[in-house]
Amino acid sequence: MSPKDESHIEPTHTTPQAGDPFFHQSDGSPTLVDPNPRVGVSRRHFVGFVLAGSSVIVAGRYVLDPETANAADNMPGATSGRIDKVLNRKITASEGASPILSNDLPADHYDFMDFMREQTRAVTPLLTLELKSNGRVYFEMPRVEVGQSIESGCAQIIADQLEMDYDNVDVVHSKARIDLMDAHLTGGSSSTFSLWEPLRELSELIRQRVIGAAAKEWGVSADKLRTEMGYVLGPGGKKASYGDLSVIAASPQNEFVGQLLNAMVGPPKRGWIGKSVPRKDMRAIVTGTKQFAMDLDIPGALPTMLARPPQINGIAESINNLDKVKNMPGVTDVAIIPSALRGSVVAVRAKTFGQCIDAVRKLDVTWGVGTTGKITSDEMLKKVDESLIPMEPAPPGAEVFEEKYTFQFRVSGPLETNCAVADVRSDSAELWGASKIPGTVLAQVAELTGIGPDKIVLNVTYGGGSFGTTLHGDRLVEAAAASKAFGKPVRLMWHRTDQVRFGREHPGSVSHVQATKVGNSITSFTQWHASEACDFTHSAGDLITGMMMKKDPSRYWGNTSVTDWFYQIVTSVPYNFGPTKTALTEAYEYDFIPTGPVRNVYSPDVAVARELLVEDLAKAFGMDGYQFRRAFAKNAEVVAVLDAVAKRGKWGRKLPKGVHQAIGIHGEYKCQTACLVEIDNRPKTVKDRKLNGWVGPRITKAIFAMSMGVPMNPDACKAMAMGGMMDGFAHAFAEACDWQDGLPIQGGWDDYGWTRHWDCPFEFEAIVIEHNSTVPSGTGEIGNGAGFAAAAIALQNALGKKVTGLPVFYRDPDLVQPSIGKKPSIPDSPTRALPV
Amino acid sequence: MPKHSFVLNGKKVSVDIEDDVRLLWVLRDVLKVRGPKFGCGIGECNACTSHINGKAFNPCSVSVKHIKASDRITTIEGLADTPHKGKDLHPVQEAWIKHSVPQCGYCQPGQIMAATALINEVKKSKRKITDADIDTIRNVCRCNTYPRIREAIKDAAKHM
Repeated sequence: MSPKDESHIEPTHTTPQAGDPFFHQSDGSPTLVDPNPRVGVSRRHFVGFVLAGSSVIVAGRYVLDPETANAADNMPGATSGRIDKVLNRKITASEGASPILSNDLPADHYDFMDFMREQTRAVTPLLTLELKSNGRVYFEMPRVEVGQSIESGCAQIIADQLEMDYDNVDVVHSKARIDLMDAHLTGGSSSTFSLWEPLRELSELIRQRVIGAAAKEWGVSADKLRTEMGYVLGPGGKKASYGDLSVIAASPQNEFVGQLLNAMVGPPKRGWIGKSVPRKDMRAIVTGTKQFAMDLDIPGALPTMLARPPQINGIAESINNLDKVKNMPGVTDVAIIPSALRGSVVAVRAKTFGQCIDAVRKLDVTWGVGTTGKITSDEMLKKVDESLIPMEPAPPGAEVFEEKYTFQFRVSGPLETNCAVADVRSDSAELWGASKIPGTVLAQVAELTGIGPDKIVLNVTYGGGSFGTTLHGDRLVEAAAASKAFGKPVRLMWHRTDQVRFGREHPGSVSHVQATKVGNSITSFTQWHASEACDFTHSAGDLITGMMMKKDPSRYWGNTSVTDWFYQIVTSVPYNFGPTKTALTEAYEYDFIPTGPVRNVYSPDVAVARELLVEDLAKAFGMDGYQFRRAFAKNAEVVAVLDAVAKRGKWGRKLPKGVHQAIGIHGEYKCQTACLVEIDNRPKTVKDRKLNGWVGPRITKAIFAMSMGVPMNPDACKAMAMGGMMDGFAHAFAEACDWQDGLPIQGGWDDYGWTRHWDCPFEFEAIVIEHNSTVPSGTGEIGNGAGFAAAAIALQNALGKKVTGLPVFYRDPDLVQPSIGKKPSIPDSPTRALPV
Repeated sequence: MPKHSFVLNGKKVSVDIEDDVRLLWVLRDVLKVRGPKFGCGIGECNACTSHINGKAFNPCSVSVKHIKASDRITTIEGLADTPHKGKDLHPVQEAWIKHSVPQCGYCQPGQIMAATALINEVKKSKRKITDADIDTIRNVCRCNTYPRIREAIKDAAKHM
């Protein structure tokens, strides 16, 4: 990276030094840099195996070293996440601010990424990495690529450690594996972090294996050899390719390699890690050859679509014109099937999807209202508000800042709707579709069909976006149900309108925030967050947990037991506000309406509520948003990202009347982020936008900074920040679905406030700051919180009125008014939209 | 069943299908041309954007009976073969790669086709492409790659 690239701030050193900023690792894992020499001993060893075969297939597992484990346990601070003491707790005292240190929250020590790392460690013995005789290395990734670049990232990790060409590493989607339990899960921005260590260990195992093979071949000791770009190089110009060596390095039987290796693979070599290499699927995407579920050619699988009820969770009681619809052009089958949600739907199979649409629209179905009824957004949010933990009265003498913020329901809406192919036979089944927790789905399909899980194959395909949708197996379960009902293979596709109205949503929430001020200090911070129930019954990756959650008769406590835990391991507060506490409560059963951990789950709303209140605090201190946040920042990372956006975004510059700046921050996934925006609310800008049917002011500039561990692919990290941030803008402006009479009134792209080309800022930059860690942070969802917060504050500043309800333009009459009917459940397609 | 013929990516094709089937399904389900994607079927997301006689349109919103035998339909698969100074990929595709535009990639065939048509259209008026021009693109991207699409379009226009 050239020194002039100000958008990528590299670490100042690669060996640990006292005073390095905090990182979250809670154990002395030997692949991590531990600046505290007392805790430098490894608690864990990695031992390797070479599996029987004609190519080199390696596997490994962790074993505890009992001696060092006990010693580590007895070290003060050894199991706490925060190793450093002074630097991060240093009070940044600036004029007019006397921050009181805040307590840590659970997420500051152990977060969801750590959980996923543990889960993946536990199943590492079941993962393999293969070097083939043609020199290519092959990995079946137990994750799904939905646009977040983890497929490429895995290839980078392998290529880096193995010292070979990135182009020669092949990463494919692993089929569903129940044996991987909670480790076959994609989510929480954890994939790179959780696969980092196992992949580096396995790669190192292959590297040492081929070195050993060469050493034997050449009769030299291994320490005289080195590896470079797929070759082992030795003295006297000796050179052999990995592919050639693999023949010798392979083993005819399973061979225990033992402690030939240990887990000290050291910091990343930065040959491929940290490089902005192109995505593995780049060329396929731009030439239209990348295959999603509906692009596969599975023999006999015909298009299938669903008729859905006019209220959520409705029940198909009867089809009143079955014969008529069965005789429509192209139609092969029609039947009532269970919905993946509550209730039932009608499935139609035909020669083309267009003919499915026609048939669905022609169906005359008697629908029962179902158990959710004609629910509305207002009703749900009222009940959510009632479930808030009561706010304690503030101590006397304190100035109290308190506010409640309401967040509407938001659709996850990836561009690829719920699509899956299913071929269910009497005693076996095969399915294809994007899935983030395929093990759970496989078991759900087993339960639905009565076929043993060992006779079901679930092929994971690329997802056209997900944003949490594919955590649930709705598409695969319904495809299986349709295929079973018809006795034929199906290509199931949800319509866009289905996706908006019946797809997984971010649940609406109410966040009650309170801060108390005494003199120049904030003396307490409390945030009670209440949400409509977020459906976590996809479990952490195994059907058993998911089933346990669902079997709770109240359909509430099982789910809540998981959501309460999850909230605690993702939520932290980036300020020194004295005693700090936060907790989640939920209302309604988990499947009252279809929700899920969509787009950074609770965190964006939690961050926005906090950041909006922080604006009130800043005003009370006579400071601007940057000054106040910097004065009360909890650690050096917060300061670094604030400084980066303020500098690059020219915070405080003279602005024309009607143009405002705003900053918001958020920390999660071992990343700290800040977003600076400029918003243009000048009459001409607003008038132009409203004339075109779009909403209000425009964000014209956005600067995003992330302080993180090793950026696998800096360009991809910036892309993730950009994507999440832009989504955040929409959440602040107009993105929401409005439940009326039991279903959202929105149903398409123009009647729902997604971000569009005309919402794009004219100036955008993302800045990556490396914080001297030797492990990666999570970036899948990282842009959302700070982007949403900055946009919400920008709107507050631009409109000159307090924002307490998001999105700000909810139910604004200038928005495109929804007009897609609910019966039939999907709209017709135009017939002659030709260019002039 | 009625027969429909047109030129697809430079080759003449014929299909036997009912008049009112939208072209998108003729392409995807009958001819197995899968580059144009389904994103809504109602002409709002433009994920299926392809070209008819060089102009952008949504095949999801046109019944096959309105396509004439002489109409030249180009999908993303055929873009690289259209006249553009003979390189391996079209300048818009090259710009997409150079600026690392795609994430999941589902919308990108449509974005690329829409961008190409827009650049060509603006060039006819003999002026430089502007932010206001790009604001008119209705193609949705849920991964929100918009800022990079914008850069890529401006860059591609210089090479067309």
